[in-house]
Amino acid sequence: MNGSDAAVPIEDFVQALQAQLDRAQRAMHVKARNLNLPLTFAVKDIAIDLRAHVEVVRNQVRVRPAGPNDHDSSVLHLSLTTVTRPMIEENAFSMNSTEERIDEVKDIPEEDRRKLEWAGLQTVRQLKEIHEQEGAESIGRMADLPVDRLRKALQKMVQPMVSRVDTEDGDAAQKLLRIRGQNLMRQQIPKVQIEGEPVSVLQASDHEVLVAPKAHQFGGVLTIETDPNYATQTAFDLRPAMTVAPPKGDGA
Amino acid sequence: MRTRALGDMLAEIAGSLLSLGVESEIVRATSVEITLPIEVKMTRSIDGLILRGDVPAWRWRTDFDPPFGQLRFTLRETGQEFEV
Repeated sequence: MNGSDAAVPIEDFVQALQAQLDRAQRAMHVKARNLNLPLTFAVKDIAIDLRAHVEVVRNQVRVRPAGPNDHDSSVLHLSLTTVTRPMIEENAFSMNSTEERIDEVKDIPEEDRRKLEWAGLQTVRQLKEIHEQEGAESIGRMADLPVDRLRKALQKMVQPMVSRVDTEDGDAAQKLLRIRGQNLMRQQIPKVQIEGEPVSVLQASDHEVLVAPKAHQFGGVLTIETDPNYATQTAFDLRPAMTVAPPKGDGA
Repeated sequence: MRTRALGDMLAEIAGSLLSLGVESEIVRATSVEITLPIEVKMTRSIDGLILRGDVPAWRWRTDFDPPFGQLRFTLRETGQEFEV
């Protein structure tokens, strides 16, 4: 890397430094084990004085190690210490192990996922929450990502999707429809229509919507709109399930 | 001389101290602090950015050599159960 190409974001630099420390620790562990030694040495504290140029490019701090004859470079002083597992656990936010992690989302390119994680966003839920609160522009600025690309990925992630529609017994012998899927509710109760006719929504959550259709609305095209720009349509037909079986002995 | 990855250089130094912990039953070094001049470079590979840092190849500097940085680190004795 030469010239201006050699400047890297400071977080990339720190990440690279951490990777090298991990590499050294791992090598020491393996060496001590191979030599069958009960004890080993581990790097506990490390400080580096780096002669470098510090630049700010589009709100991003970049460092470039000083080259030959660079007499006017700055000195960047970085100190790191190792953390123990209890320290990590004490400072980590609680995360449900079943939650979808950002690194599992294939709609976002790997490099963008990495930047989001560095910005502190680990799960899809966190990303959705901050998107609702701050918008794609803020996330883009925070994680240094192109806003258009991020917005497209976020739109895909919050797009409602129906996976299953079932009938359910309601009060007073009224049949209800339970709609299951993902992203079925945003900030307000979704608008639900069957064949273009509105349906009353009784309950709604991110994964389920319970509606009270009229007798003729147990089949057709179901539309769920969580926001003016976010809607999904699914064809379903539960009318055969609603047909009352004729009593035995009727007919011929 | 090719500048090694910083982790390789640290591992070599720490590895050379391994015997300090076992060969004496009376006196044993449990902590070592080291300060070194280093040359720092950054290169890219398919795994991402690699921080290269190594002791200077030559004692005397020329106009073609980058300026030294400084690396200070502490090595402390730890058991094999140390998690990496």
